[in-house]
Amino acid sequence: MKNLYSSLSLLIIFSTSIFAQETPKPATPSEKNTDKFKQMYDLLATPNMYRTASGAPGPAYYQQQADYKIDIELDDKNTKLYGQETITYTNNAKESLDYLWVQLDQNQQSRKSLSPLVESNKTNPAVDVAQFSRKYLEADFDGGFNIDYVKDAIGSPMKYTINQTMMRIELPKALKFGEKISFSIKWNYLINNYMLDGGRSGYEHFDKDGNNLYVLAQFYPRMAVYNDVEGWQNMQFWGSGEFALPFGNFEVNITVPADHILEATGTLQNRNEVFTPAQLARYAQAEKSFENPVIVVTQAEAEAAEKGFSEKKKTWKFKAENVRDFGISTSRKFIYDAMAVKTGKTVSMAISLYPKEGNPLWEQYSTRIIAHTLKSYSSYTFDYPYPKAISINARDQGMEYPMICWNYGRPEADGTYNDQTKYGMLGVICHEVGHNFFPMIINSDERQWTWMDEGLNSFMEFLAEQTFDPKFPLRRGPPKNIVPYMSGDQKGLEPIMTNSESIRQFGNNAYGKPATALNILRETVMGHELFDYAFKTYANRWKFKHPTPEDFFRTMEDASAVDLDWFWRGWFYTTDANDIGIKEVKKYFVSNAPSKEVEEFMKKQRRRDTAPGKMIYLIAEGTDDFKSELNKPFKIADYKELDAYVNEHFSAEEKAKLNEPKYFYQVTFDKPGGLVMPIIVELTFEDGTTEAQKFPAQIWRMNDKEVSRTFATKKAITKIQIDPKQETADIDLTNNTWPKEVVKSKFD
Amino acid sequence: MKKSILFPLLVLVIIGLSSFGLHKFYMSIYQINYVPEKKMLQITTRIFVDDLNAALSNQFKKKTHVCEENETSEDLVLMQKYLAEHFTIKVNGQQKNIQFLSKELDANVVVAYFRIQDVAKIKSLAIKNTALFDVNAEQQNIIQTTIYGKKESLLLTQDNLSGNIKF
Repeated sequence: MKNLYSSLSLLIIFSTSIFAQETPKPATPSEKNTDKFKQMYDLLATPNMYRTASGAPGPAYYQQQADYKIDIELDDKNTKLYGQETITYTNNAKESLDYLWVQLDQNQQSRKSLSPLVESNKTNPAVDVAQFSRKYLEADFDGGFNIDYVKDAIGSPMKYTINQTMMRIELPKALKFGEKISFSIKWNYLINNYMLDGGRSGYEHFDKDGNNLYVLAQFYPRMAVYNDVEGWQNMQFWGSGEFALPFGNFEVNITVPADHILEATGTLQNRNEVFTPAQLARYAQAEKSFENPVIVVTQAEAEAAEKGFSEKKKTWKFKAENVRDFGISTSRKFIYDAMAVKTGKTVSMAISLYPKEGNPLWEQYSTRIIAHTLKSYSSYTFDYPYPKAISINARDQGMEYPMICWNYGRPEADGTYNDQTKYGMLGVICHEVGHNFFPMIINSDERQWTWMDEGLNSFMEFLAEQTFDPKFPLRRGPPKNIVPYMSGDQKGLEPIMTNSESIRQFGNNAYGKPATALNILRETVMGHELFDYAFKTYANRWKFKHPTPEDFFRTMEDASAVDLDWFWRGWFYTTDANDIGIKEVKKYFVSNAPSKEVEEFMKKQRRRDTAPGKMIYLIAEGTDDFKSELNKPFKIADYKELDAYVNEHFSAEEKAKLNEPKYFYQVTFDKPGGLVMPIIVELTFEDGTTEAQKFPAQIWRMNDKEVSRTFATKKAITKIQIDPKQETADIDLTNNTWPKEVVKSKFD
Repeated sequence: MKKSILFPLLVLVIIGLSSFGLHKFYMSIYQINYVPEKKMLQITTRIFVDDLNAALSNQFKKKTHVCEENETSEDLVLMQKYLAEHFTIKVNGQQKNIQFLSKELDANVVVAYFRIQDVAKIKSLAIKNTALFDVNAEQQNIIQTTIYGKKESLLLTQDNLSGNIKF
């Protein structure tokens, strides 16, 4: 035994010495640790009592609370909104606060907004006259908040300063730990026609019947987040980075024309004042219908209402608990259907509101995809905790708020639609309803990190769509779909860990790439069981809390015992792409005689009196030492020394269990891509059968450019392919096969 | 320029100031690879199928169905006509004919293949791409070139219609 070990180790020394001679020394700066597997101490925030190294909320974790009582009134004729609110803010931080920051997001639509001034634009040599007029002649839409007052609890004015989209309210005395403060704000603003002026909320005007369909959000001054990582939020709303909001309870009274149908975040308190008896009866039926949606407000009722233009008003009263925001949608045009959904032990309502222009598509699919989405997402996270989830049909919108979201997708005027329209609509509803989980409940900071909600949510959407319809055209998640983006010039890309305002290709960077990364983690790196447990742990740890990217990265490792620092570093902190290739395949044959090179080496060893024991030798095909008689399948019995060794060491029974390979192949893999990824190899044998082998990414830890593996097989290999199922986003498939296949070009 | 109307009627233009963060993104990728041994520029375009049909319908005042069940041969002709008008390449200062080869649908993306032949060497590329700018104000046309092993990219938008790459 000892002899065998020493000779093996000699051979290893021998082969590494050859390797060292052939490879030129890389010109790596010696002071820099370029190890792609080094731990992320240089990138992650230091763990502390607020956020632990395991990725969980720490013993000192706290979050602020903002409760709202709001009364608003919609002036439909003038598309204007008037509001008055009382905010009660609780300071749960140990430190005192000298001032509060309130977000005035509508100011991004103000004429004084700085957002248009930070866009680079060149002079367009040919412009449509209407566009020219809007760009150079007309005054911009002026949709910012007009603040009437800010008053304290006894009605005295409070001092405030507005800086773009944020307002600082100065406190007469510091707000200490555990203290509450109540103050009131009165405001109004002109609602934007989002088809003309853009925005995540506003209204759509229907020329045919003169009605508006409102999707109202960011409609009230909202508390900014104060927390242990940012202090007060100080990043303005420029337009791309969405929202960061504290949790709280809402009581909202909304006054609209009496013939409107309305939905909003929270539980409706006065349904019997706003629905007809027939509608109430249908709603009660919907609450018991778990299979199919029930039409509560019919198309006939909606068509009658849209002709009315009532001068009367109605007030809809809502209460919502533990939500970070509030959204409203209202119109005369709304048809309304609903059904009940059970996730675990909780029952919620799935509700859709759409104008007749959305039918027949919407009555068929909207509520059903809501129900499916809640079930699918719940299975990977937690039971959906809110009483309802609403999907509103709004042209060209795709935007999410707690319990309510706006979604595009309408058939042609004649009611026909193609698969693109149908799947586009199903996809956007699944996505926006899914946002209830990320970021409405798992409340990440969208202003800083778009990927934390969009990436995780796109990944969950990808899983939900597959189980809704096996034919669903999956856009974000399949690794091959991200290849055109990741294979681009790196100067034109930025890492996922880039602030929302500085991302050039938003859809690919913040949605597609992180969704793909998570899909690869689940399918290829971690496996379903480890991934799903860790992902669920993250969701449950940070449910109704404010996680950071570190909390996600750490939890995924902590709950799975899979070190993923290399994965986060490569996929999230760089723009590197994956490209692994087969550089060379050498066939080896077993020989009783050594090659000349080995023989010379052995001679030297003998002189040094360290002669190895009995040996057999492997000779590469095509070398000078290769002789045609070597070209035969390996058999133990053909090699006397080995045969003797085997007979001496193993009983007949043990011998029968020995693996006796016939062929030896040394495969050298190179890695033109910057990412480290597992090597997935498929061997095809002479009889057409295949075998899959997978080498963890850590195979690259000692050499980032090139690694080799020897495959000892019982059947001759006819083909070797890397990543046959395209599961690693390999950007160049032309170097993935041996022998090299001429890929049929689309260009000849 | 021979074409007198660069931008047809902009009936569908949505002037979004901030709808950037919406779920729907208006973005196409154009990959241009040079193969010296074939003296060929190989071009792969990836355009969302709904946006493409919207642009064709807008320009030609006719509903088109490229990569849909009821696609007609005329739809394909219109697609080529549209792209020929909006996507032009000058190699070493000379306008080149971009030859359409084939197309296929991948999820919701029309992947189309084109080539430019008889390109003996490349000193410069001038790429102009205004495709889909007439239907979506936020459209981004990402041009990715790989020429003599070197990768470059251009981000073309309504405010930046063309770009040059020199070698």
